Amino acid sequence: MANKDDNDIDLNPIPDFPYDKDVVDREGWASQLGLVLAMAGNAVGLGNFLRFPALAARNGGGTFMIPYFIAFLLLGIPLMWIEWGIGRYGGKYGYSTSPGMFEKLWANPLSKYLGALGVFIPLAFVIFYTYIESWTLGYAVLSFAGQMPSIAGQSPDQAFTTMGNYLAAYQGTNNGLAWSGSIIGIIFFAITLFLNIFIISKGIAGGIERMAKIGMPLLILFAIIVGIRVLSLPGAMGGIAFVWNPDFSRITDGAVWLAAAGQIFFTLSLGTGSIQTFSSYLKETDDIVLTGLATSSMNEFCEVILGGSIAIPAATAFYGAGAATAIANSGTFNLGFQTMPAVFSGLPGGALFGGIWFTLLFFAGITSSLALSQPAMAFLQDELRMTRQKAAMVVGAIIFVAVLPIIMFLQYGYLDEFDFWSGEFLLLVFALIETILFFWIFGGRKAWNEIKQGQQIPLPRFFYPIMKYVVPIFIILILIKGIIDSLIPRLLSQKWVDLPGWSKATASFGERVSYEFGFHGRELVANAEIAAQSGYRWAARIEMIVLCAVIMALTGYAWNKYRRSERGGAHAQ
Amino acid sequence: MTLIIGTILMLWQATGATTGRAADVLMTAGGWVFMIGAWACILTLVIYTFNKVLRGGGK
Repeated sequence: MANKDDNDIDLNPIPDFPYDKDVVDREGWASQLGLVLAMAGNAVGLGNFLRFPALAARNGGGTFMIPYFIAFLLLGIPLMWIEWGIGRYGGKYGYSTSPGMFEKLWANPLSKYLGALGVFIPLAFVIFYTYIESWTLGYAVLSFAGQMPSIAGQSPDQAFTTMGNYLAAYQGTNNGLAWSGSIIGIIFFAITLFLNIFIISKGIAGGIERMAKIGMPLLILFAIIVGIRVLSLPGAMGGIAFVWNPDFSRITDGAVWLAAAGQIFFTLSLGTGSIQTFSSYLKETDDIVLTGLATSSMNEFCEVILGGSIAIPAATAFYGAGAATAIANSGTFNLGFQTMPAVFSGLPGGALFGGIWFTLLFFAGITSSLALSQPAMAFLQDELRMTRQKAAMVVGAIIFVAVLPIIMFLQYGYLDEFDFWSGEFLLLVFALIETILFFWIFGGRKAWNEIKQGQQIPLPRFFYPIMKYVVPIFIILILIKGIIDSLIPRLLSQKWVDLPGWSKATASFGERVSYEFGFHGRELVANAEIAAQSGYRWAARIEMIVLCAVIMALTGYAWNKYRRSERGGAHAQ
Repeated sequence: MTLIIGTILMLWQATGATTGRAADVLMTAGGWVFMIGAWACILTLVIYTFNKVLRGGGK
């Protein structure tokens, strides 16, 4: 007969703080599949279909997949598990956002303010992302309605210009006024914002999970339909070849490796704070190893298999293989909103396929924007004690007010500035902070055991040193590259230009490395375009600083008003 | 390691790829290998993980 004391061992000890009604009644996921689809929806975004294929084509085609998969293994999956682990760990103490999670990892007054970045970053991100998402909804409706401009009889170049003018009219950047914005663009933005707010107001299981269960299968179905149509076009295989034919001369290029690591980082939506919030709704014994891996693999399916088979092949079929390089270099927005509409406008049944294309982009967008909204929602609910409906209204109001200058000053780089800081740079900063907190301050062993808890598949031991050493080094390298290539030139209104006679092909390995750090082969010169937009760009930065300061102030307020009293109450019991 | 290097060299020779990729129109053998290899890896991972997730029950 077993000893009574042995039977009484509590494998899931109740946390001392603040295990109260809020913890017991917290929201949760209805199913593991729903959680995986919601997390995958968070990761799958516009970049999967627009950024990845162009990036692969520019960086060595098939050989790009070598650093890409290595980065997936050494950076993407481990960091995904780290974020899941932090989230589930914070969740068992009743925290759904990083201020509280960080405080549990590091008992220091500063930690909660560092954690406030995990509320600010996704909020700033979703402010401009919702606006871009609304373009996809607008274009989907206009495509289905046959309202996209006709390009009959136009050359590919003329068609590209026609679509560029149409996009400018949609955005209202060519209205002859000092500010941009069009009635139709604002209407579709309002509809998009309403849909987002309506869904998040329904909660985790009733809103976000339900949307993911509908949106993700439809997204994949639509991508398959569009992909089959695209690959049936004459010349489309030239685009596939452009994406996949290997260029082994690029494999020793450090910039390619960093581009691959950056793509893995951004495509999995790491560093946004939303993964932690989603995983905080898990139970302590729920698996995160398998679900994290399933989420990552679903994202790769959408990116590599579906994303790699649509945009570039379609553009190559329409514009010809000779234009493939220019298309790949034209940027995400041009590819999505100029090149692709032109391609579909030239096809029989183009209105239908164009509509399907933009609908799938809309699903990719809304599942991401819902995830990005959730940290702010959870912060207002958990820390400021708002009801879900009230929190949704507040989040909606913040997005609506904060997006106005983005819409009005779109052509002056306002959105670009938001994108750089909250959509790129700060994600890396936040990911580095959380990795150091979890594996270095909280403790590597404890972090490792926390991740392994409840595992449905074994977690190989070699991931421990990867999480502790390789992941932060990877992030630091991408961060340094970002500071040199983007942050410094941006702040100084400058740009990098290669020196005359410089060629990577003939440079030595040392010279190539020196080039990446800006010491060799290139120099900074004045960027007149950025300089002319300087005032607007600084306004965008100030808007973000104010938003961040307010969230940090609210964090301090919430801790003083609620968390301290709870702590006192818990001890009193 | 030798196997990996040998495979890479073989693929290199098979593709005949140069830095002037803009002129590439046809899929090379290396392109097929990389595409099919990447697709196979990802599909295997998706099938393996979702099979486990779905068999894991509702929660």
